[in-house]
Amino acid sequence: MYKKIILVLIGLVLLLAGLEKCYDYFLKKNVNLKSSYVATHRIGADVVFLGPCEPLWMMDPSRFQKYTGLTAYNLATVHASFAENEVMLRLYLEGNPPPKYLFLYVTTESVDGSFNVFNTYAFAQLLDRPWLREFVQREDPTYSRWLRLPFMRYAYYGNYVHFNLVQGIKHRWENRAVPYFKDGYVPPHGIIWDGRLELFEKTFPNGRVFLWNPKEISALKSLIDYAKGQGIRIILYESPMLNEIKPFVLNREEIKQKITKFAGENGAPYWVFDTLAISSSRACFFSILNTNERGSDSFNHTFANFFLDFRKREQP
Amino acid sequence: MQFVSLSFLVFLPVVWLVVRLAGPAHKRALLLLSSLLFVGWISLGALAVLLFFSLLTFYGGLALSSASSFRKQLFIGLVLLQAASLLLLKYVESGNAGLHLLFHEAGYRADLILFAAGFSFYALQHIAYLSAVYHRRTVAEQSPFNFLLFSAFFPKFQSGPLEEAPQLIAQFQTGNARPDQLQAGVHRIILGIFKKMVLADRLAPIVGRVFSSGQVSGSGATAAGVCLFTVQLYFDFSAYSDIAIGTGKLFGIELTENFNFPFRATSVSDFWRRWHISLINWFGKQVFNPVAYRLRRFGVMAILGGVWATFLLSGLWHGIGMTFLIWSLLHALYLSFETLTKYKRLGWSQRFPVWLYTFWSTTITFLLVCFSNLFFRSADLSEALQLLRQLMTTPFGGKGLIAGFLSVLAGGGYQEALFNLGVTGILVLLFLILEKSLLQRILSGKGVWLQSFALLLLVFVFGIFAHSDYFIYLQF
Amino acid sequence: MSHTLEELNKVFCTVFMKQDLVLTPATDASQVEGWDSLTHMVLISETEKHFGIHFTFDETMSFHQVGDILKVIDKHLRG
Repeated sequence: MYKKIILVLIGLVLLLAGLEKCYDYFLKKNVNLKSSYVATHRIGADVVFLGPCEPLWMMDPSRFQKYTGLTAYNLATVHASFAENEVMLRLYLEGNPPPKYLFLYVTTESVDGSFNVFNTYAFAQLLDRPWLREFVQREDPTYSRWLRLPFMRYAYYGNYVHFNLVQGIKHRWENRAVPYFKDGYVPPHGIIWDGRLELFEKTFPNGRVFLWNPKEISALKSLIDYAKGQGIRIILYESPMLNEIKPFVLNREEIKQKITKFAGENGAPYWVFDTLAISSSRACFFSILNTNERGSDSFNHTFANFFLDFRKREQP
Repeated sequence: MQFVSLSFLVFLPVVWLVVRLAGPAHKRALLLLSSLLFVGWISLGALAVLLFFSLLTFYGGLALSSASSFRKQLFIGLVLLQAASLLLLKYVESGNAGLHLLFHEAGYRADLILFAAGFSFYALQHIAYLSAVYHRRTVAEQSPFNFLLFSAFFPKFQSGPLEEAPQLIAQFQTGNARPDQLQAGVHRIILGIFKKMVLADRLAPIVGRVFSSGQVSGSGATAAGVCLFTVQLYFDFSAYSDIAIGTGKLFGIELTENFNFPFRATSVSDFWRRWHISLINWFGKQVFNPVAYRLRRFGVMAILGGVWATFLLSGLWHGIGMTFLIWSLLHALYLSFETLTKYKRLGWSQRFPVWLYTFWSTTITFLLVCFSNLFFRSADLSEALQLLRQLMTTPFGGKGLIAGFLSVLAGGGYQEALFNLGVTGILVLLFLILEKSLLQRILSGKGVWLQSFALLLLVFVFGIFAHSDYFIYLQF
Repeated sequence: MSHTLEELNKVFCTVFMKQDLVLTPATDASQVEGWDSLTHMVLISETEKHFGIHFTFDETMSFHQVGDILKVIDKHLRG
C-alpha cells in the first residue's frame, strides 16, 4: 500500500507540473488578459491611463486621440492597487517604449488600502520574472509560500483562472492577436445603477474616515519613481464622483490636500475634477465613482481639453 | 485545528507514524497525548473545559456505579450541569450570532466560543454515558485515561460522530490498523477533502449571495440558494465525517457512519435515518425512546410525543433562536404528518409505478428539508421572512434568466462568474450521481487508487484554497 | 409455530396492517414494512396489551428480532 501511495504522489506531482506548463502557455496566449497581452504586443501609445476600474471604464483612448491627436492605451485593471499598477506598467514597458504621459488615478479610496487589491492571479503565468516574484512576495506572501509546489500558483486562485485558461485555449486555436477591447478601454457595460452608494451609506451611516495608508503611499511613491526613471511624465488625477457621496467621506478635504502635497513633493501634478456639473446628478453615473456612457463622453472631452491647456502651458 | 488545513496535513501523518512505530502497547497513550495536543492547539481554554467535564463525568460515573443512596440526585446533577452548560453556550453563541458567522466566507470565532470547541458533541456523549451507567446498562469505565481519550479522541472531537464509550474504548485496546482499514482510511480522507474543497467550498459563496447578502433576488435565485444550502451543508458535514471516519480507520478504529445518501430519502423519516445518523441515534436513545415508552399506552400519540420532544430539543442543541425553533417545529410537523398518514400514503404508492412514486417522494422530501433549512441558515427571523417574501415574487425578479437568476447566484454577469457557476453545477451534479459508486469503490478496493488520484487532481484544479473556511458543524 | 409466536404474529398483523405477515424468530425490522424506531413503541404497547404483561424500558430496547421479544414474553408469562 505504501508503494501505491508513493506512486500516486509522484504521479500527481508530475501531472501537476505538466499542467502548470500548460496553464502558463495558454494563459500567455489569452490576449484578453491585459497582463499577458501588454508584455508581448507592440502598442506604442503616446499616453497611458493607469489605475483601477474607474479609469478602466471611463478613459477612452479613441476619444482622447480624437481630441488631442495623441495615441493612448488604457492600462487600468479592475480593483488594482498601486503595486499592481506598477506591475502593469513594468509589463507594458517590456514590449513597448515608454509613453510620453502616464495618467494615474488617485483618490481617497486608492490611498486607503481597503478598496483595492493586488490581483495576484492575473500574473500567475508571468512569474518567470524575478522582479514580479518580488512584488508577489511583498503583496501576497501567503501565495508566495505556495509557489514552491507545482501548480499551486494556479490552484491557489483556481476560480479566477479557469475561464481565462479556456479563453486562452480558444485564442491559441484561433491564433488571435487582437484583444476584444483593443485599446484596453472597457466601456461602461450597460449597468443602470449598481447600488454601491446605498450599500456604502447603509454600512457607514455616519460616514467613514479614510486612511492615509503608509503601505499604499509607499507603493505610490515606488510607481512614481519608476515612471520618472523611465522618462515618463506622470500626472495624478481624480475623475468626477457623485456629490452625494462626499458627506460620507468624512476627511475628504484632508486626504485631498495630503495627496496634492505628496504629488508636489514628487514632481507630479494632481488634477482634481470634483466640481464638474456632471457630479451633481446620477444621470451621468452608474455608481459612486463610475460614469456611464453619457458621463464618460463628457469627462473624456473635459479631460482632453484640460490636458491640451496643460501641455500648452508646459510647452509654450 | 481544522481537518482541511496544512497543520492537520502535517499533524496526522506524524501522529500516525509515531503511533505505528511505537506499537499497539503504546497506542492508547500516544493517541491520548496527540488528542490533548490537538485540543490544546485549538485553544488551551478548550483543553481546560474538556479536562474538567471529562474528569467530572468519569468520576461521576464511578460514583454512580458504587453509590447506593442519592444516585438519582447525583445522576440528575451531573446531567443537568452539562446540559445547562450546553444551553449557556448556545445562548452565548446566539448573542454573538456565532453560528451564522460561520456561514460567511470571511468568518471568525470569538475566543469565548473557542473555549467550547467540541463541547456540544462531547457533552452529549457524556450524558449518554452517565445515563447508561445510572441505568446499569454498562459498567463504569475504570481508567481515567481511557475515558479522557474517549472524550478527546481527535478524529471525532470537534463535530462527532457521536460515539458510545464502551464500544469506542474497547477499540483503543486493539492493535494497529489492518491493511484494509489503512487503505479505506486513506481513500475516505481523500474523498472528504474533495467534498469539502471542491464541492462545499464552491457552493458556499453562491449560497452566501442569497442568504445575508443584502440583495433582493427573485424567487428562482432564492429557491436555488435555499436548495443549494442544503447540498452545501451535506457536502461540508459529510466531508468532515469522511475525514473523521477515515482518520479513525488509520488507527484501527471504526467510527459510526454519519450519512447514508440523504438525498435519496423517500420521506422525512427516511431522511433522518440518513442524515447526521449518530446525532439522531443519540436523540433516539436518550429522548425519543424514553418519551415514547412512557406514552406508549396512548398509541400513535407516543410517536408524536417522542418526535416533538426530540426535535424541540434538537433545535435547541443546534442553537437558540426563532429560526432554530421554526426549523425544529417544521420537522416535528413533517414527521407527525408522515406518522398519521403512513398507511394512506402506502396505499397511494401502490397506485403508481415505483419509479414515479420514488421520484415524487424523493423530490418532495428534498424540498421539505430545504424549506426547513431556509430557517436554519437565516441569521434571524427577519431574514427568513424576507426570503419567504422573495420566494413569492417572480422567478427572475423581472430581470430575465441571466441578470435575474444566473448572475445573482454567480455574483455577477461576467463570463468568468457564469463559467465558474456552470463548473460548480456540473461538479455537484456529477458527484451526486456518482457518489454511491465512489463510496462502493472505497469499500471494495477495486479501482480505488485511480479514483483517489482523480479526486486529488480535481482538488488541485477546482478546489478552493484561497480563503479561510471551516466546517459548518464546528459551531456545535 | 409456538403459541406465543402465533399470538405475536396476530399483534404484528394488526399493528402493521398486513394480514399476510408470517413471522419467524429470526424476523427483524428490515423484513417487516412499517416496523421502525418510530413505530417500535406502538408495537410494544400492543404486545403488552395482548399478552397482559409489562415490559421494562431496557427490555423494549433489547428487541432486535422477533425471537428477542418471544423470549421476554415467555419470561413474563412464566411469572
